[in-house]
Amino acid sequence: MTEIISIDVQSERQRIGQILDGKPEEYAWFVNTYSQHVLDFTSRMLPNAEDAREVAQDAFVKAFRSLASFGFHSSFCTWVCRIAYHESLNRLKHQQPHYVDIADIPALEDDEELSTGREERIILMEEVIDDLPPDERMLLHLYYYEDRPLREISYIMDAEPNALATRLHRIRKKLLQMIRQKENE
Amino acid sequence: MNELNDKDLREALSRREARRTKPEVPADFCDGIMQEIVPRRSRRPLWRWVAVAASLLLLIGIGVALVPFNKQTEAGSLIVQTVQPVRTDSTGTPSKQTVKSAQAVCTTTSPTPKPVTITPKVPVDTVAVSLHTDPNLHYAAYSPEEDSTYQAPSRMVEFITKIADYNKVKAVPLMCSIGSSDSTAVSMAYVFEDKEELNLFGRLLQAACWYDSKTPGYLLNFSHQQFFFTLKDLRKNEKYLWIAERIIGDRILLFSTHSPIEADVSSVCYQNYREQLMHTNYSTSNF
Repeated sequence: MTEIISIDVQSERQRIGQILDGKPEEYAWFVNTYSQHVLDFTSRMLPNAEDAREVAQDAFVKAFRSLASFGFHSSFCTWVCRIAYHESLNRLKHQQPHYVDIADIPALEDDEELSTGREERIILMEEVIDDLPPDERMLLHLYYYEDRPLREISYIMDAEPNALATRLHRIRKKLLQMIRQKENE
Repeated sequence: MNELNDKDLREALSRREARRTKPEVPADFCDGIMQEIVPRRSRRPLWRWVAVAASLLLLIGIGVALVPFNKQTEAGSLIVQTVQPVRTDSTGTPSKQTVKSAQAVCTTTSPTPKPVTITPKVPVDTVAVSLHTDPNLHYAAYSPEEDSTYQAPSRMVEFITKIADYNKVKAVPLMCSIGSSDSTAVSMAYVFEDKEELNLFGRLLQAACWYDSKTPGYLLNFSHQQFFFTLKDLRKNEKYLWIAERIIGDRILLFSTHSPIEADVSSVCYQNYREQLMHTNYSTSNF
């Protein structure tokens, strides 16, 4: 499980209020508290460490600049992660326009079975997860590793929970096909 | 295997996470954000304030240059007048001194404009002030005292004084006290023109209606020819009498007197004065 940041919502509200009242020293508290988490988040999306750092910083800057419009619908950290997610996607658009689409993968016959054992399957799974596009990898990570509810993931990724559930189903199917391909190689 | 096992997927993600080296937050991470945020926030409002202050100064400058100086002094005097306490004399009428002092401030304004300092606000007698501004209230100035329902009989005297002033009718003082040395009785006679537009009887009757019939000394009699009204003011220990009568020559003779309750006052003086006007007899009565 990932490191859980204990969030004192009331404290966050007070600090945000102080910033809005003209106390810029409170910015540092948010950066110091959440920078590791946000950087971790962006580095999952962006393979280049420099890009991850820049996007994380940009996410903080954008959040601080529009602090007055922060409606406290989530924690500040989740809000920054949401900004970071979209920033990362924007950056990836300009870097890696091509990903393998599920349509390019040959269809799997229903009665076909894999003969590998569990350990082997897990190792293969680790490999194919790395081959997934960053947004799909992030969805898997948030849902299966961080155990975040779909509602929160939908806020970060700006997508409907139902759409995310469908997408998760497709990713799992895609993973299965990629594992089979690997096994056949 | 037809489906992915959730347990396997979680395990794969955990192992992957364990293998993964977490990125370290660079030392200048926070500084980079602060450089972006703090200077921008401090600069923006400063420019706004400077712009607002500059435009305000410009507007004030234009205003001062365009407004003629005498208008500025008028405005200044108006402020002074409104904060001047309006002192009232014993009859409740605004004292002329107050107006004079306000005018003095008007005229003594030096050519160089001086800042008008308005120190503690003096409660202004709003009724008295409104007398000067509201033409409909020129007859009745009433200063409410501690009891708002209480109608001072002196208000009737005040009303008559004002209606006489308005119609440019002179008050003729009469000596009505029985003892010649007693000067506590105040008696006045007025001769009004009996004009329909003046409607003196109607106005007197209207004024008499201010008072409850349970008011001490209340006695009201009126006809087309005569109006008779008495009141007592127990607070001031005074009694009041008003007699108005239509006389020859389309005139109305109005007699108004008030004196201490215990004082003996005769209407002989009124009778004599009436005789002078009418050359007719009038019955003497004590009240």
